[in-house]
Amino acid sequence: MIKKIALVLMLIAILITFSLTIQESKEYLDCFSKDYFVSKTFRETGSKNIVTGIYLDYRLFDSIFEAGILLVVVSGIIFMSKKDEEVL
Amino acid sequence: MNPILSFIVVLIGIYGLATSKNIIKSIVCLNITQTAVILVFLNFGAFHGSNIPILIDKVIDMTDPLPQALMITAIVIGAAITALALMLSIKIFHYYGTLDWKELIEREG
Amino acid sequence: MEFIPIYLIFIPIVAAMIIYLFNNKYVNYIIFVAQTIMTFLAVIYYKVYDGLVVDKMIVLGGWDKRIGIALKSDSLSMSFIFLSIFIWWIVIIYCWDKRKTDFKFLFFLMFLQGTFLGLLQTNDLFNLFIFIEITTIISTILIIYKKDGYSVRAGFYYLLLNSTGMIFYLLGLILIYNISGTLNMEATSHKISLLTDTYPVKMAYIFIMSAIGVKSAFFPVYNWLPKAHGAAPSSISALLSGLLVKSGVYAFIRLNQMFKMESFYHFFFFLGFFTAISGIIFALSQKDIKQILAFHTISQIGIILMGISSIDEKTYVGGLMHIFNHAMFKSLLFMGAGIIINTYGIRRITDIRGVFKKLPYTSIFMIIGMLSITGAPLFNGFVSKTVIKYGVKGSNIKSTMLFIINLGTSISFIKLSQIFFGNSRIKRSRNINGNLAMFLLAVMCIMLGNYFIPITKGFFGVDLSYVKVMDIGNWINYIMTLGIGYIVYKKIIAKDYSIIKKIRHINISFGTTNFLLVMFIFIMILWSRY
Repeated sequence: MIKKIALVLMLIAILITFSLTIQESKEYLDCFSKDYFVSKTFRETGSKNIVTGIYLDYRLFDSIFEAGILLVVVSGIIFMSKKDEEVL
Repeated sequence: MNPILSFIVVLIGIYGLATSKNIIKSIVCLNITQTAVILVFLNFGAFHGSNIPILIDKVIDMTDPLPQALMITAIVIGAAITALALMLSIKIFHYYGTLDWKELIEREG
Repeated sequence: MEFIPIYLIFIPIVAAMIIYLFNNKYVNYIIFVAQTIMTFLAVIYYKVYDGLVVDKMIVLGGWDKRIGIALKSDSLSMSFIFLSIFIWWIVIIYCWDKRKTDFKFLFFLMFLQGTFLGLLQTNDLFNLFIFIEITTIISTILIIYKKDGYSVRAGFYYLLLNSTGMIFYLLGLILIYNISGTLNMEATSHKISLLTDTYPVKMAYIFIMSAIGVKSAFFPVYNWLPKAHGAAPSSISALLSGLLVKSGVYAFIRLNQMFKMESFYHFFFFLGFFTAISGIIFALSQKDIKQILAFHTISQIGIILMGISSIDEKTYVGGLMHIFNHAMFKSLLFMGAGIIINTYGIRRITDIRGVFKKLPYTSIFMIIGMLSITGAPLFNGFVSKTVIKYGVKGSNIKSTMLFIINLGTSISFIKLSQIFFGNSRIKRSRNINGNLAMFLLAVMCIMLGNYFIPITKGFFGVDLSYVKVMDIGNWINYIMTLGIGYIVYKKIIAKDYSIIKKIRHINISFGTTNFLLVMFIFIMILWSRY
């Protein structure tokens, strides 16, 4: 019981600090990245959907390794669920 | 107002992780926390404006497209971790016969 | 020629996929071909760019530096790349007998090498998150490889705790992106160098550091480490404890170079001290040989953290060197423990006797490892511990703390050395590959202990000629520490009081560990206000 009350108090303290942080971070907002993307995506990648242009052109390295995660997880689950020493 | 509400859902997920007695409840709370962090990202992106980032009609006051692209990857990572954790909990039930955290520590496989 | 960092990431992954596709016994030898190619490429890259005194950055795709993903190579990342390629050679040689035909094991092992080399070179905050997550997932699959109950429980705990930690990394990431407008680490460090007193930068630092703390086993949240390292197969234990735990420490160094928060340096020094002390107290009470070594990893990480907590003082170089030395001798000890467990079949050190007569080569190499970890002169542990000792010579409290930790390390390795005496009735077994791997590591230990001056000048740019190996004072210091440790061991530890039994059976559940993580964040918030 004491643990739960202490946990709730600590989480409320983190919440109050975070809300003060949001107030301050609205003043120091930096728009460099958004202006670059809005003005140059169509000329450099040829797509009108900016999110697709970022995901498949400017940040292709991340997407390759995301596909790699799917490969590893699927082969890991197949390995774990086999019962005998069969070769896949 | 919106970022604070999403952050409250993150904290509810962490409270659930710290006080669950069942393995499946811990995995569900982990999933809730990951989804709420995605909402926090989208809310922070909406500080710049709230039109969708597609170059069709309105080109002013768009939201920031970069957090949205990052969160596509984060959703996939969250789903992969949930799948692996659920497979491991099936194996734990197979070897130990229980799904409780306290009994799991005491029993021997 | 300038795209070699990209080749270093993708060659192991392609080799892993070829092995998985063909599942033929003779195609498995592609591993040696791939490792040799990677060694050559790393050496050529180092020589062509003159030891990388000037940093070199590649932006993938040719975009602007603040928009695309960048890979950075400087002397720190090149030294880590050499260390990881070397340790992977040793692990492949060690486990080649048992796993010649096990192509799934080799697939996961080589994929892990590719993503680890990617983690060491990236300069982009979200890319670092993805590489840390892939390393977590593949390590989980390798820990549960034996598929018995003990391993599955340890691997599940490891996966859940590390995923909870990385959620806080994402929260810190969005706060820092809002202020700096870019995700590149170098551009961000220019932008926030004037703003380190505002709330968003401090909260981002606290969230990111708590996530890195879970990953590198700092004081309240290290509970995943003893279970995971004790339950894994022996070669994977050596790899995890020697190298993959250091990925958290490497991320800690890079993020501290980016943030430059002066007010937290003392906090991390005391945190390192608590980590080291609790590691030693738990290690003195265990009886399982792998758990003792796993708790020692925690205490050595505490010493490393005490070293690197201040970026521009003398202890920083000592902490960096201790990372390399610890990788060498901890892998050596884990491999020796693996051979002993395979030959004897049991894991408690009170039942294992007569290792010196049955396995002579293995025991010689393990004695070399034990002398290195306690800091004997002529071996490499002495060099890094002396550098840290010289760095904290100013204040008395810090020197006393360091002395207590060295004493605790000596006590527990005197306790471990009781397995060498006596007789036993197990029959001998030949273990050529294992002994060859341990021989290479022991040679590296001795070489780094004696010829360290040209190596540290080349990689770190520091002149270490004030560390004298042949000084009589250092020898007397070491023998005195051993003597005090032996007396303490005989009087207190060997009697096995009931309090030691209670410490051995402490088991913290998953809920309590999350409570400790929230408390860690709360204490950091309180420290930042006063």
